[in-house]
Amino acid sequence: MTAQEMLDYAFGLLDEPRRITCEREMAADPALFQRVARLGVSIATLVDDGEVIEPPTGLAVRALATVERRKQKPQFQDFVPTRVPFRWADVAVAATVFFASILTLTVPLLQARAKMGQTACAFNLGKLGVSLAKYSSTHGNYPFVPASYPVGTYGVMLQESSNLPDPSILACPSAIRNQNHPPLPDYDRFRRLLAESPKSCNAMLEGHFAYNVGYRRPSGEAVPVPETPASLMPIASDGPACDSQGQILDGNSPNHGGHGQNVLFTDGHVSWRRNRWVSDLDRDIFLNNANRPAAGLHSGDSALIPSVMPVSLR
Amino acid sequence: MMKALGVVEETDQTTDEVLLSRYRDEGRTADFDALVHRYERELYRYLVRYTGDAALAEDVFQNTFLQVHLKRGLYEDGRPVRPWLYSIATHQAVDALRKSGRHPTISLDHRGGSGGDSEPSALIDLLVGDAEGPLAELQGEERKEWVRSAVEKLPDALKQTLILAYFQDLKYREIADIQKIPVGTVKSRLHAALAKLQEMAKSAQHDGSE
Repeated sequence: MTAQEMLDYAFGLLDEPRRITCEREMAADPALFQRVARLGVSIATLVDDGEVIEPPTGLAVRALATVERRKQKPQFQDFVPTRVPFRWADVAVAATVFFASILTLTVPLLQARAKMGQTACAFNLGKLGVSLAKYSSTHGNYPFVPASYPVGTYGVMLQESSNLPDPSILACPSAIRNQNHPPLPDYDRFRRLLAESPKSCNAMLEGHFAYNVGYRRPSGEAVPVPETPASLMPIASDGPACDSQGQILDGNSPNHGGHGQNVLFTDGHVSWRRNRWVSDLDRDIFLNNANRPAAGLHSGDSALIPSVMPVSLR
Repeated sequence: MMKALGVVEETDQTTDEVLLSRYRDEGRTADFDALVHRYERELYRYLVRYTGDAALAEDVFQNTFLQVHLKRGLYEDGRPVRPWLYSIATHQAVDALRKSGRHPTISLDHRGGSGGDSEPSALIDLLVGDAEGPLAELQGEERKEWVRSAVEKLPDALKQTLILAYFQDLKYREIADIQKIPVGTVKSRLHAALAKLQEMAKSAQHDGSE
Protein backbone atom coordinates (compact mmCIF):
# COMPACT_ATOMS: atom_id res chain seq x y z
CA MET A 1 0.00 0.00 0.00
CA THR A 2 1.65 3.22 -1.10
CA ALA A 3 1.65 6.45 0.86
CA GLN A 4 -0.71 8.00 -1.70
CA GLU A 5 -3.09 5.07 -1.31
CA MET A 6 -3.01 5.50 2.46
CA LEU A 7 -4.03 9.14 2.05
CA ASP A 8 -6.67 8.23 -0.54
CA TYR A 9 -8.04 5.55 1.79
CA ALA A 10 -8.29 8.01 4.63
CA PHE A 11 -10.17 10.43 2.38
CA GLY A 12 -12.37 7.68 0.91
CA LEU A 13 -11.04 8.43 -2.55
CA LEU A 14 -9.97 4.90 -3.48
CA ASP A 15 -12.00 3.11 -6.11
CA GLU A 16 -13.77 -0.06 -5.04
CA PRO A 17 -11.36 -2.76 -6.29
CA ARG A 18 -8.31 -0.95 -4.93
CA ARG A 19 -10.03 -0.29 -1.58
CA ILE A 20 -10.75 -4.01 -1.14
CA THR A 21 -7.12 -4.89 -1.96
CA CYS A 22 -5.84 -2.31 0.53
CA GLU A 23 -8.15 -3.58 3.25
CA ARG A 24 -6.82 -7.09 2.69
CA GLU A 25 -3.26 -5.78 3.00
CA MET A 26 -4.16 -4.01 6.25
CA ALA A 27 -5.84 -7.13 7.61
CA ALA A 28 -2.62 -9.04 7.02
CA ASP A 29 -0.38 -6.34 8.48
CA PRO A 30 -1.45 -4.97 11.89
CA ALA A 31 1.28 -2.28 11.85
CA LEU A 32 -0.01 -0.97 8.53
CA PHE A 33 -3.55 -1.03 9.86
CA GLN A 34 -2.43 0.97 12.92
CA ARG A 35 -0.67 3.54 10.75
CA VAL A 36 -3.64 4.02 8.42
CA ALA A 37 -6.01 4.26 11.37
CA ARG A 38 -3.85 6.92 13.02
CA LEU A 39 -3.68 8.79 9.73
CA GLY A 40 -7.46 8.77 9.49
CA VAL A 41 -7.79 10.11 13.03
CA SER A 42 -5.14 12.79 12.42
CA ILE A 43 -6.90 14.00 9.27
CA ALA A 44 -10.30 13.98 10.96
CA THR A 45 -8.87 15.93 13.90
CA LEU A 46 -7.41 18.55 11.58
CA VAL A 47 -10.29 18.86 9.11
CA ASP A 48 -13.57 17.65 10.57
CA ASP A 49 -15.34 20.29 12.64
CA GLY A 50 -18.16 17.85 13.33
CA GLU A 51 -20.72 20.37 12.21
CA VAL A 52 -23.86 18.90 10.67
CA ILE A 53 -25.23 21.32 8.13
CA GLU A 54 -28.85 21.01 7.10
CA PRO A 55 -30.50 23.19 4.48
CA PRO A 56 -33.17 25.58 5.73
CA THR A 57 -36.73 24.37 5.24
CA GLY A 58 -38.07 25.05 1.77
CA LEU A 59 -34.74 25.96 0.19
CA ALA A 60 -35.45 23.91 -2.93
CA VAL A 61 -38.95 25.37 -3.20
CA ARG A 62 -37.57 28.91 -2.97
CA ALA A 63 -34.96 28.13 -5.61
CA LEU A 64 -37.68 26.81 -7.91
CA ALA A 65 -39.78 29.89 -7.21
CA THR A 66 -36.82 32.10 -8.18
CA VAL A 67 -36.54 30.29 -11.49
CA GLU A 68 -40.28 30.49 -11.99
CA ARG A 69 -40.28 34.26 -11.37
CA ARG A 70 -37.55 34.62 -13.91
CA LYS A 71 -39.60 32.68 -16.42
CA GLN A 72 -42.45 35.14 -15.89
CA LYS A 73 -40.15 38.10 -16.62
CA PRO A 74 -38.06 36.93 -19.51
CA GLN A 75 -34.95 38.93 -20.30
CA PHE A 76 -32.96 39.35 -23.45
CA GLN A 77 -30.83 36.23 -23.01
CA ASP A 78 -33.95 34.08 -22.59
CA PHE A 79 -34.76 34.72 -26.23
CA VAL A 80 -31.39 33.52 -27.43
CA PRO A 81 -31.91 30.03 -28.84
CA THR A 82 -30.55 27.52 -26.36
CA ARG A 83 -29.44 25.16 -29.09
CA VAL A 84 -28.72 26.23 -32.61
CA PRO A 85 -29.31 23.36 -35.03
CA PHE A 86 -26.75 22.71 -37.74
CA ARG A 87 -27.76 24.29 -41.03
CA TRP A 88 -25.93 24.24 -44.35
CA ALA A 89 -27.15 27.78 -44.96
CA ASP A 90 -25.04 28.96 -41.99
CA VAL A 91 -22.01 27.20 -43.42
CA ALA A 92 -22.63 28.85 -46.78
CA VAL A 93 -22.91 32.29 -45.17
CA ALA A 94 -19.73 31.70 -43.16
CA ALA A 95 -17.89 30.52 -46.27
CA THR A 96 -19.11 33.56 -48.22
CA VAL A 97 -17.97 35.92 -45.48
CA PHE A 98 -14.63 34.11 -45.34
CA PHE A 99 -14.01 34.32 -49.07
CA ALA A 100 -15.23 37.92 -49.23
CA SER A 101 -12.74 38.76 -46.48
CA ILE A 102 -9.97 36.98 -48.35
CA LEU A 103 -10.85 38.85 -51.54
CA THR A 104 -11.09 42.16 -49.72
CA LEU A 105 -7.65 41.63 -48.29
CA THR A 106 -6.07 40.02 -51.35
CA VAL A 107 -6.84 42.79 -53.86
CA PRO A 108 -5.24 45.61 -51.82
CA LEU A 109 -2.29 43.33 -51.00
CA LEU A 110 -1.70 42.56 -54.67
CA GLN A 111 -2.06 46.25 -55.55
CA ALA A 112 0.39 47.22 -52.81
CA ARG A 113 2.82 44.57 -54.03
CA ALA A 114 2.56 45.85 -57.62
CA LYS A 115 3.10 49.42 -56.41
CA MET A 116 6.17 48.34 -54.48
CA GLY A 117 7.52 46.65 -57.63
CA GLN A 118 6.97 49.86 -59.64
CA THR A 119 8.69 51.96 -56.98
CA ALA A 120 11.70 49.65 -56.74
CA CYS A 121 11.95 49.63 -60.54
CA ALA A 122 11.79 53.45 -60.71
CA PHE A 123 14.48 53.62 -58.02
CA ASN A 124 16.83 51.45 -60.11
CA LEU A 125 16.10 53.45 -63.24
CA GLY A 126 16.83 56.68 -61.34
CA LYS A 127 20.22 55.35 -60.27
CA LEU A 128 20.88 54.14 -63.81
CA GLY A 129 20.06 57.68 -64.98
CA VAL A 130 22.78 59.06 -62.70
CA SER A 131 25.31 56.52 -64.07
CA LEU A 132 24.36 57.33 -67.66
CA ALA A 133 24.57 61.08 -66.99
CA LYS A 134 28.10 60.65 -65.59
CA TYR A 135 29.08 58.60 -68.62
CA SER A 136 27.64 61.11 -71.10
CA SER A 137 29.28 64.04 -69.33
CA THR A 138 32.72 62.50 -69.90
CA HIS A 139 32.04 60.95 -73.33
CA GLY A 140 29.76 63.61 -74.81
CA ASN A 141 27.10 60.99 -75.56
CA TYR A 142 25.28 58.04 -74.05
CA PRO A 143 26.86 54.56 -74.42
CA PHE A 144 26.74 53.53 -78.05
CA VAL A 145 26.45 49.80 -78.41
CA PRO A 146 28.37 48.48 -81.46
CA ALA A 147 26.49 46.71 -84.23
CA SER A 148 25.96 42.96 -83.67
CA TYR A 149 26.45 43.34 -79.91
CA PRO A 150 23.47 42.75 -77.64
CA VAL A 151 21.90 46.00 -76.53
CA GLY A 152 22.58 45.17 -72.89
CA THR A 153 26.28 45.78 -73.60
CA TYR A 154 25.59 49.35 -72.42
CA GLY A 155 25.80 47.96 -68.88
CA VAL A 156 29.27 46.50 -69.55
CA MET A 157 30.33 49.84 -70.99
CA LEU A 158 29.07 51.71 -67.94
CA GLN A 159 30.91 49.29 -65.67
CA GLU A 160 34.10 49.58 -67.74
CA SER A 161 34.00 53.38 -67.38
CA SER A 162 33.63 53.04 -63.60
CA ASN A 163 30.21 54.69 -63.71
CA LEU A 164 28.23 51.67 -62.53
CA PRO A 165 28.41 51.34 -58.73
CA ASP A 166 26.09 48.32 -58.60
CA PRO A 167 25.15 46.12 -61.62
CA SER A 168 21.85 45.18 -59.95
CA ILE A 169 20.43 48.62 -60.91
CA LEU A 170 20.46 47.51 -64.56
CA ALA A 171 17.35 45.40 -64.05
CA CYS A 172 13.80 45.84 -62.85
CA PRO A 173 13.42 43.84 -59.59
CA SER A 174 10.07 42.54 -60.86
CA ALA A 175 11.70 41.10 -63.99
CA ILE A 176 14.57 39.24 -62.33
CA ARG A 177 13.34 35.83 -61.20
CA ASN A 178 16.81 34.61 -60.25
CA GLN A 179 18.15 36.83 -57.49
CA ASN A 180 21.67 35.43 -58.05
CA HIS A 181 21.97 37.12 -61.41
CA PRO A 182 25.45 36.51 -62.95
CA PRO A 183 27.87 39.46 -62.51
CA LEU A 184 29.05 41.46 -65.51
CA PRO A 185 32.60 40.80 -66.74
CA ASP A 186 34.99 43.50 -67.98
CA TYR A 187 34.62 44.60 -71.60
CA ASP A 188 37.43 42.44 -73.07
CA ARG A 189 36.20 39.32 -71.35
CA PHE A 190 32.66 40.10 -72.44
CA ARG A 191 33.83 40.35 -76.06
CA ARG A 192 35.60 36.98 -75.84
CA LEU A 193 32.60 35.41 -74.15
CA LEU A 194 30.30 36.83 -76.81
CA ALA A 195 32.39 35.12 -79.51
CA GLU A 196 32.57 31.83 -77.64
CA SER A 197 29.14 31.57 -76.05
CA PRO A 198 26.50 34.14 -76.99
CA LYS A 199 23.96 32.25 -74.88
CA SER A 200 25.90 32.83 -71.66
CA CYS A 201 26.14 36.54 -72.58
CA ASN A 202 22.37 36.65 -73.02
CA ALA A 203 21.95 34.97 -69.66
CA MET A 204 23.99 37.79 -68.11
CA LEU A 205 21.92 40.51 -69.75
CA GLU A 206 18.48 38.92 -69.46
CA GLY A 207 16.02 41.11 -67.60
CA HIS A 208 18.12 44.28 -67.95
CA PHE A 209 16.36 47.48 -68.93
CA ALA A 210 15.68 48.18 -72.61
CA TYR A 211 18.01 50.87 -73.92
CA ASN A 212 18.01 53.59 -76.55
CA VAL A 213 20.30 52.53 -79.42
CA GLY A 214 20.51 56.03 -80.95
CA TYR A 215 19.20 57.32 -84.23
CA ARG A 216 20.22 57.80 -87.85
CA ARG A 217 21.23 61.06 -89.35
CA PRO A 218 19.77 61.99 -92.73
CA SER A 219 23.01 60.65 -94.18
CA GLY A 220 22.15 57.21 -92.78
CA GLU A 221 24.89 57.25 -90.20
CA ALA A 222 23.84 55.74 -86.85
CA VAL A 223 24.81 57.94 -83.93
CA PRO A 224 24.30 57.66 -80.15
CA VAL A 225 22.03 59.91 -78.14
CA PRO A 226 24.08 63.05 -77.40
CA GLU A 227 24.73 64.34 -73.92
CA THR A 228 22.22 67.14 -74.45
CA PRO A 229 19.68 66.05 -77.06
CA ALA A 230 17.53 68.66 -78.81
CA SER A 231 14.41 67.32 -77.14
CA LEU A 232 13.66 65.22 -74.09
CA MET A 233 14.22 61.58 -75.03
CA PRO A 234 13.50 58.24 -73.36
CA ILE A 235 16.84 56.56 -72.65
CA ALA A 236 15.94 53.33 -70.83
CA SER A 237 12.83 51.51 -69.66
CA ASP A 238 11.25 48.23 -68.67
CA GLY A 239 11.78 45.86 -71.60
CA PRO A 240 8.92 44.95 -73.97
CA ALA A 241 7.50 41.47 -74.46
CA CYS A 242 9.22 39.44 -77.23
CA ASP A 243 8.32 36.17 -78.93
CA SER A 244 10.70 33.25 -79.42
CA GLN A 245 11.86 34.72 -82.77
CA GLY A 246 12.85 37.98 -81.08
CA GLN A 247 9.89 39.93 -82.45
CA ILE A 248 8.65 42.70 -80.17
CA LEU A 249 5.02 42.06 -79.27
CA ASP A 250 2.25 44.60 -78.87
CA GLY A 251 1.33 45.89 -75.45
CA ASN A 252 3.15 47.09 -72.41
CA SER A 253 6.17 45.59 -70.69
CA PRO A 254 5.44 42.30 -68.92
CA ASN A 255 7.56 43.43 -65.95
CA HIS A 256 4.55 45.01 -64.21
CA GLY A 257 1.78 42.71 -65.34
CA GLY A 258 1.26 44.58 -68.62
CA HIS A 259 -0.16 47.62 -66.80
CA GLY A 260 2.59 49.94 -68.05
CA GLN A 261 6.31 50.62 -67.83
CA ASN A 262 8.74 52.92 -66.08
CA VAL A 263 10.68 55.11 -68.49
CA LEU A 264 13.93 57.00 -67.80
CA PHE A 265 14.34 60.25 -69.74
CA THR A 266 17.53 62.11 -70.63
CA ASP A 267 16.88 64.75 -67.95
CA GLY A 268 17.08 61.97 -65.32
CA HIS A 269 13.40 61.81 -64.38
CA VAL A 270 11.52 58.51 -64.34
CA SER A 271 7.90 58.40 -65.49
CA TRP A 272 5.26 55.66 -65.31
CA ARG A 273 3.69 55.21 -68.74
CA ARG A 274 0.47 53.30 -69.27
CA ASN A 275 1.15 52.94 -73.02
CA ARG A 276 4.01 53.07 -75.49
CA TRP A 277 3.23 56.52 -76.86
CA VAL A 278 5.72 59.31 -76.01
CA SER A 279 4.87 62.16 -78.35
CA ASP A 280 3.67 62.76 -81.87
CA LEU A 281 7.32 62.57 -82.98
CA ASP A 282 7.86 59.31 -81.12
CA ARG A 283 4.72 57.19 -81.26
CA ASP A 284 6.14 53.91 -79.95
CA ILE A 285 8.74 53.77 -77.26
CA PHE A 286 9.96 50.29 -78.28
CA LEU A 287 9.98 50.75 -82.06
CA ASN A 288 11.23 53.46 -84.37
CA ASN A 289 8.83 55.39 -86.54
CA ALA A 290 9.23 52.71 -89.24
CA ASN A 291 7.80 50.25 -86.67
CA ARG A 292 11.11 48.39 -86.40
CA PRO A 293 13.26 47.63 -83.34
CA ALA A 294 16.08 49.74 -84.70
CA ALA A 295 17.70 53.16 -84.38
CA GLY A 296 15.34 56.12 -84.64
CA LEU A 297 14.65 57.71 -87.99
CA HIS A 298 15.53 61.17 -86.67
CA SER A 299 16.87 62.81 -83.52
CA GLY A 300 13.41 62.88 -81.94
CA ASP A 301 12.59 59.23 -82.69
CA SER A 302 13.67 56.83 -80.00
CA ALA A 303 13.59 53.03 -79.84
CA LEU A 304 14.30 51.28 -76.54
CA ILE A 305 15.51 47.81 -77.57
CA PRO A 306 15.49 44.75 -75.25
CA SER A 307 18.89 44.05 -73.71
CA VAL A 308 19.38 40.61 -75.29
CA MET A 309 18.51 41.75 -78.80
CA PRO A 310 21.52 42.32 -81.08
CA VAL A 311 21.91 45.80 -82.52
CA SER A 312 22.39 44.25 -85.99
CA LEU A 313 18.65 43.82 -86.26
CA ARG A 314 18.10 47.50 -86.84
CA MET B 1 -52.89 11.93 -8.46
CA MET B 2 -51.76 8.60 -9.80
CA LYS B 3 -50.20 10.38 -12.73
CA ALA B 4 -48.26 12.79 -10.46
CA LEU B 5 -46.95 9.91 -8.38
CA GLY B 6 -45.87 8.19 -11.56
CA VAL B 7 -43.82 11.20 -12.62
CA VAL B 8 -42.10 11.43 -9.21
CA GLU B 9 -41.20 7.75 -9.27
CA GLU B 10 -39.90 8.04 -12.79
CA THR B 11 -37.68 11.05 -12.03
CA ASP B 12 -36.38 9.43 -8.85
CA GLN B 13 -34.84 6.62 -10.85
CA THR B 14 -33.55 8.78 -13.66
CA THR B 15 -29.90 9.88 -13.80
CA ASP B 16 -28.95 13.53 -13.42
CA GLU B 17 -27.74 13.56 -17.00
CA VAL B 18 -31.05 12.35 -18.43
CA LEU B 19 -33.02 14.77 -16.25
CA LEU B 20 -31.02 17.76 -17.44
CA SER B 21 -31.04 16.68 -21.10
CA ARG B 22 -34.79 16.24 -20.96
CA TYR B 23 -35.32 19.59 -19.24
CA ARG B 24 -33.17 21.24 -21.89
CA ASP B 25 -35.05 19.60 -24.78
CA GLU B 26 -38.60 19.30 -23.49
CA GLY B 27 -38.71 21.87 -20.68
CA ARG B 28 -40.36 19.44 -18.27
CA THR B 29 -40.57 21.23 -14.91
CA ALA B 30 -40.71 17.90 -13.04
CA ASP B 31 -37.20 17.07 -14.23
CA PHE B 32 -35.82 20.37 -13.00
CA ASP B 33 -37.65 20.02 -9.66
CA ALA B 34 -36.11 16.59 -9.20
CA LEU B 35 -32.62 17.95 -9.83
CA VAL B 36 -33.05 20.84 -7.36
CA HIS B 37 -34.37 18.55 -4.64
CA ARG B 38 -31.69 15.95 -5.33
CA TYR B 39 -28.87 18.47 -4.82
CA GLU B 40 -30.54 20.61 -2.14
CA ARG B 41 -28.68 19.17 0.86
CA GLU B 42 -25.37 18.35 -0.86
CA LEU B 43 -24.86 21.65 -2.62
CA TYR B 44 -26.08 23.76 0.29
CA ARG B 45 -23.56 22.06 2.62
CA TYR B 46 -20.77 22.77 0.18
CA LEU B 47 -21.78 26.40 -0.17
CA VAL B 48 -22.05 26.97 3.57
CA ARG B 49 -18.59 25.51 4.14
CA TYR B 50 -17.08 27.39 1.20
CA THR B 51 -18.64 30.79 1.89
CA GLY B 52 -18.76 30.43 5.68
CA ASP B 53 -22.13 32.19 5.65
CA ALA B 54 -25.49 30.36 5.69
CA ALA B 55 -27.51 33.32 4.33
CA LEU B 56 -25.06 33.90 1.50
CA ALA B 57 -25.04 30.14 0.75
CA GLU B 58 -28.82 30.20 0.37
CA ASP B 59 -28.67 33.06 -2.13
CA VAL B 60 -25.89 31.34 -4.05
CA PHE B 61 -27.85 28.09 -4.10
CA GLN B 62 -30.85 29.82 -5.69
CA ASN B 63 -28.67 31.66 -8.18
CA THR B 64 -26.90 28.42 -9.07
CA PHE B 65 -30.12 26.78 -10.19
CA LEU B 66 -31.24 29.94 -11.92
CA GLN B 67 -28.01 29.73 -13.91
CA VAL B 68 -28.60 26.04 -14.61
CA HIS B 69 -32.01 27.00 -16.01
CA LEU B 70 -30.54 29.82 -18.12
CA LYS B 71 -27.55 27.81 -19.33
CA ARG B 72 -29.39 24.56 -19.94
CA GLY B 73 -28.83 25.01 -23.67
CA LEU B 74 -25.07 24.77 -23.12
CA TYR B 75 -25.32 21.40 -21.43
CA GLU B 76 -23.85 18.69 -23.65
CA ASP B 77 -25.37 15.21 -23.66
CA GLY B 78 -23.47 12.73 -21.52
CA ARG B 79 -21.45 15.33 -19.62
CA PRO B 80 -21.51 14.50 -15.88
CA VAL B 81 -23.96 16.87 -14.20
CA ARG B 82 -22.42 16.88 -10.71
CA PRO B 83 -19.07 18.57 -11.63
CA TRP B 84 -20.93 20.98 -13.94
CA LEU B 85 -23.27 21.95 -11.11
CA TYR B 86 -20.42 22.38 -8.63
CA SER B 87 -18.55 24.46 -11.16
CA ILE B 88 -21.51 26.84 -11.58
CA ALA B 89 -22.05 26.95 -7.82
CA THR B 90 -18.38 27.75 -7.17
CA HIS B 91 -18.41 30.60 -9.69
CA GLN B 92 -21.59 31.97 -8.17
CA ALA B 93 -20.06 31.72 -4.70
CA VAL B 94 -16.89 33.53 -5.74
CA ASP B 95 -18.99 36.31 -7.31
CA ALA B 96 -21.16 36.59 -4.20
CA LEU B 97 -18.11 36.75 -1.92
CA ARG B 98 -16.62 39.49 -4.07
CA LYS B 99 -19.88 41.47 -4.08
CA SER B 100 -20.11 41.19 -0.32
CA GLY B 101 -16.55 42.49 -0.03
CA ARG B 102 -15.15 39.19 1.16
CA HIS B 103 -12.70 38.49 -1.60
CA PRO B 104 -11.67 34.86 -1.66
CA THR B 105 -7.95 34.33 -1.20
CA ILE B 106 -6.85 33.48 -4.71
CA SER B 107 -3.14 33.13 -3.93
CA LEU B 108 -1.81 29.66 -4.60
CA ASP B 109 1.44 30.44 -2.84
CA HIS B 110 1.35 27.59 -0.39
CA ARG B 111 4.99 26.65 -0.48
CA GLY B 112 5.94 28.08 2.85
CA GLY B 113 6.35 26.12 6.07
CA SER B 114 6.15 22.38 5.87
CA GLY B 115 5.31 22.66 2.17
CA GLY B 116 2.55 21.28 0.01
CA ASP B 117 4.89 19.80 -2.53
CA SER B 118 6.23 17.26 -0.06
CA GLU B 119 6.02 13.57 -0.92
CA PRO B 120 2.92 11.72 0.37
CA SER B 121 5.14 9.58 2.64
CA ALA B 122 6.66 12.70 4.22
CA LEU B 123 3.18 14.14 4.69
CA ILE B 124 2.02 10.93 6.41
CA ASP B 125 5.07 11.01 8.69
CA LEU B 126 4.17 14.60 9.53
CA LEU B 127 0.55 13.71 10.27
CA VAL B 128 1.07 10.52 12.29
CA GLY B 129 4.49 11.30 13.78
CA ASP B 130 3.18 13.23 16.75
CA ALA B 131 1.76 10.67 19.20
CA GLU B 132 -0.83 12.97 20.71
CA GLY B 133 -1.33 15.32 17.83
CA PRO B 134 -0.97 19.09 18.07
CA LEU B 135 -4.67 19.57 18.84
CA ALA B 136 -4.71 17.02 21.68
CA GLU B 137 -5.07 19.74 24.28
CA LEU B 138 -8.16 21.18 22.61
CA GLN B 139 -11.46 19.59 23.49
CA GLY B 140 -14.97 19.55 22.01
CA GLU B 141 -16.24 22.91 20.84
CA GLU B 142 -12.84 24.51 21.28
CA ARG B 143 -11.27 22.11 18.72
CA LYS B 144 -14.21 22.42 16.33
CA GLU B 145 -13.95 26.20 16.46
CA TRP B 146 -10.23 26.00 15.79
CA VAL B 147 -10.82 23.68 12.78
CA ARG B 148 -13.49 25.97 11.31
CA SER B 149 -11.23 28.96 11.66
CA ALA B 150 -8.16 27.15 10.27
CA VAL B 151 -10.00 25.85 7.18
CA GLU B 152 -11.40 29.35 6.63
CA LYS B 153 -7.85 30.74 6.65
CA LEU B 154 -6.62 28.37 3.95
CA PRO B 155 -5.93 29.85 0.50
CA ASP B 156 -9.08 29.64 -1.61
CA ALA B 157 -7.88 26.91 -3.99
CA LEU B 158 -6.73 24.68 -1.13
CA LYS B 159 -9.93 25.25 0.82
CA GLN B 160 -12.08 24.41 -2.21
CA THR B 161 -10.15 21.19 -2.86
CA LEU B 162 -10.27 20.10 0.78
CA ILE B 163 -14.01 20.71 1.09
CA LEU B 164 -14.79 18.92 -2.18
CA ALA B 165 -12.61 15.92 -1.29
CA TYR B 166 -13.32 15.51 2.42
CA PHE B 167 -16.84 16.82 2.99
CA GLN B 168 -18.47 16.36 -0.41
CA ASP B 169 -16.89 12.95 -1.14
CA LEU B 170 -16.16 13.85 -4.73
CA LYS B 171 -13.61 11.81 -6.70
CA TYR B 172 -10.33 13.24 -7.95
CA ARG B 173 -11.62 13.27 -11.53
CA GLU B 174 -14.74 15.22 -10.52
CA ILE B 175 -12.73 17.76 -8.51
CA ALA B 176 -10.35 18.17 -11.44
CA ASP B 177 -13.35 18.83 -13.74
CA ILE B 178 -14.80 21.41 -11.36
CA GLN B 179 -11.53 23.27 -10.85
CA LYS B 180 -10.38 22.71 -14.45
CA ILE B 181 -6.98 21.46 -13.33
CA PRO B 182 -5.15 18.13 -13.77
CA VAL B 183 -5.78 15.32 -11.28
CA GLY B 184 -2.14 15.57 -10.14
CA THR B 185 -2.71 19.19 -9.14
CA VAL B 186 -5.79 18.20 -7.15
CA LYS B 187 -3.68 15.71 -5.19
CA SER B 188 -0.91 18.21 -4.55
CA ARG B 189 -3.46 20.82 -3.41
CA LEU B 190 -4.95 18.29 -1.01
CA HIS B 191 -1.50 17.49 0.38
CA ALA B 192 -0.75 21.19 0.66
CA ALA B 193 -4.00 21.84 2.53
CA LEU B 194 -3.25 19.09 5.05
CA ALA B 195 0.34 20.25 5.50
CA LYS B 196 -0.86 23.81 6.03
CA LEU B 197 -3.44 22.76 8.61
CA GLN B 198 -0.85 20.64 10.43
CA GLU B 199 1.54 23.57 10.42
CA MET B 200 -1.15 25.90 11.79
CA ALA B 201 -2.01 23.33 14.48
CA LYS B 202 1.63 23.07 15.54
CA SER B 203 2.06 26.81 15.74
CA ALA B 204 -1.19 27.02 17.76
CA GLN B 205 0.22 24.36 20.10
CA HIS B 206 3.43 26.37 20.55
CA ASP B 207 1.48 29.57 21.15
CA GLY B 208 -0.62 27.78 23.78
CA SER B 209 2.36 26.26 25.59
CA GLU B 210 4.27 29.55 25.82
